[in-house]
Amino acid sequence: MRRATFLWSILAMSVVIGLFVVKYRVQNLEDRLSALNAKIITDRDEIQVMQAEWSYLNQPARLEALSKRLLGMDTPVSAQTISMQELLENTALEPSDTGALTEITEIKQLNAKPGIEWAPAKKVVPVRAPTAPGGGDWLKPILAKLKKNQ
Amino acid sequence: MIGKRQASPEKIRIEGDRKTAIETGRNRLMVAGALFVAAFSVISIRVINVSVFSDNNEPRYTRSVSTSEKHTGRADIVDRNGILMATSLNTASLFANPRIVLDPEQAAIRLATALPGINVKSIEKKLRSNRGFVWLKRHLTPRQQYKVNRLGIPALNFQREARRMYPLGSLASHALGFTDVDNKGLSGVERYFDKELRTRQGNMALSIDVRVQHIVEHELGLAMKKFNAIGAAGLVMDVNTGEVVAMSSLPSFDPNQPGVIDQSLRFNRTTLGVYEMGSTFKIFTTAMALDAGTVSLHGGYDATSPIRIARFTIRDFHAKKRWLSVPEIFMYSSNIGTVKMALDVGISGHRNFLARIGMMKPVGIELSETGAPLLPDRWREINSMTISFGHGLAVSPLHLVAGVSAIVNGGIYRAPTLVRRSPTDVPAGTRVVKAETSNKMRQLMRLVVENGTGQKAAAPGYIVGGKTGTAEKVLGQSYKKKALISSFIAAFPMHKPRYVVLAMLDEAKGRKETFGYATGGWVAAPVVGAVVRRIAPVLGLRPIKDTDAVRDSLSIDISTKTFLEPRVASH
Repeated sequence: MRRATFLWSILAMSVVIGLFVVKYRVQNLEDRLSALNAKIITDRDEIQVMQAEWSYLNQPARLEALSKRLLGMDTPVSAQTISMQELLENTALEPSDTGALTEITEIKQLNAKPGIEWAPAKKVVPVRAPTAPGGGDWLKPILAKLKKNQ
Repeated sequence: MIGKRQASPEKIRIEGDRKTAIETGRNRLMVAGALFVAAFSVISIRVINVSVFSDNNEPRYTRSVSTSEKHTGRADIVDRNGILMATSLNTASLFANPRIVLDPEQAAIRLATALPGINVKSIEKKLRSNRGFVWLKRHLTPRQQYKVNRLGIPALNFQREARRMYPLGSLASHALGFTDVDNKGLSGVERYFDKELRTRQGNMALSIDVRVQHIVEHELGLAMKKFNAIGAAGLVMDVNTGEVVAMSSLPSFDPNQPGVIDQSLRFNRTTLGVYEMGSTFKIFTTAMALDAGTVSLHGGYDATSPIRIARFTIRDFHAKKRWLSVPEIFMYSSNIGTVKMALDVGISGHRNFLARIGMMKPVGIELSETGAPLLPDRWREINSMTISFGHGLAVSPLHLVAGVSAIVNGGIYRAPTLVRRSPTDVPAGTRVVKAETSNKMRQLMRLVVENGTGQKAAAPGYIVGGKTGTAEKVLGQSYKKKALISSFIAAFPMHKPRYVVLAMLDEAKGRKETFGYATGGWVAAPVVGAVVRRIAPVLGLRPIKDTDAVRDSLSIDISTKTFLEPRVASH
């Protein structure tokens, strides 16, 4: 009888202690949750502000002025763009120039694949004098053509 | 336990009074025990009920922020590529409880140190009032909020409030519109979709492309300054979907400062303003005549002498004083020839055609500020004659752009929209002219830029075609001689049009370089040319070399009778 009472009281005590522990843990978790919630809300506000700032800094007028001033960019003219087709047609290949050859055949294969669309209108081929002798050889006919067109 | 009890050898026997006393005690214990059992079982049933069966009835201490809900407040507006155009930012607004202010005068003076620019007198008056709540200043910056907090005045408090911001400034301000301090849409898309923007989660995508919008505004602004115009309007519309890619009305305003926007700046010239558009209407007259079959491209009319009707005389600006073929009438913008073309179709035919291309009612676009066309009270022969070359019927620039889109896109009219459409979601539209007529009109419009009045709109590689228009502004009953509406409407690339571009200048003045002219060909056509040259690469259009196939598809036999005249208009 006495042992049973003892056992029961031990059980009751441990349940009570367990309950308290769990209760405080839950409260802690809830506190953390509300802190996190508050943080999420302030973070969202901050993200929103940064998005607005990003958009503000990307105003087309500002970008235009900056790219003109710092990068020397200007409105592209049609002579600056060339389609991949024209590039391939007008490239006279020298037998030694195998590097360019493989590159171009790769491009040709890519071009043949449906679904891969080349958008050369967006790609501006800068008109520059070829710097490296030999390596820039295959560009010569294209440049000549561009000059003629201009 | 029981075994132990049974095993006990001696048994105590109690008799008599004692026994009854113990019996009574036992019974009382039993009753008390039963009561306790009943009470505890009620409690335990309730405990089980609360903890097991009623799952969500208990209010929780905290709730997690759901990932799906964005921020509360007005939805963002983005352009067709997702660039933020309008957003709501949370700011702090300062309010006070005047009842617990200790020293209003001192508080007002100290507030002024933190918030420069506030009126100390009015703040003090507010703090002296006998109310529980007064706004002191809305939408403080974080720095101002910090300074006010540092003052430590107990009666002051902050309220988080959303404020509408337009990070792109005045760009596309007429299309976007703006909101008041309580975030209620007052104009533009903000007003038209006010309810939806309040309730929806997620962004709203417009059809506007901010890059194109910037280019149009920039070029129009330059021309406006150069020709000393009082205003300008520009539109770019996708002819196949009806999406308005750029809508610019100058002068524009900064929607970030709704309090200081002048009423006159809010006027949207592209949709609310109605103007007699002048010769650009010849596109419609010519298309109508070709579609009705009253004349072919090889036909023509005698434009030797001006037409006199009632008290009016209809003359040609670029008079050739001879018989002109239809392409020549269009190219030289002959009023006489166009009037004759319209008369051959007839008054009712003319009216029906204009109704079909949407010139008789306001344009159905997502803006509340749309202007209704000014129609003649009674449509007589004289009205048809003047309307054929764009006088006597005032429409908004958007009317013209939507109509011309239908003429060049193969003949399908679609109402313009400011909301982005997915390519699969394009409405079928209504057919207004035959595809063949549309083809012929493209050739004629190309001719104007190649050899006619619109040569300054040329953009190498993008095959622009268009029509000039110059009209005198109506002032009461008469026309103002020196106040012109100069416009140019173009489409490109002309063999397969993708976009229609309109530039219009309000009261442009001629300059020395333009020989004093302020006509559409001189002031508006160069704007269109510059705009096309700049927007085509942005819109991903590849420049077209003038290959034979394209040239052939657009070439046209100008004249069947005379070959002596140089085929270039003087201006």
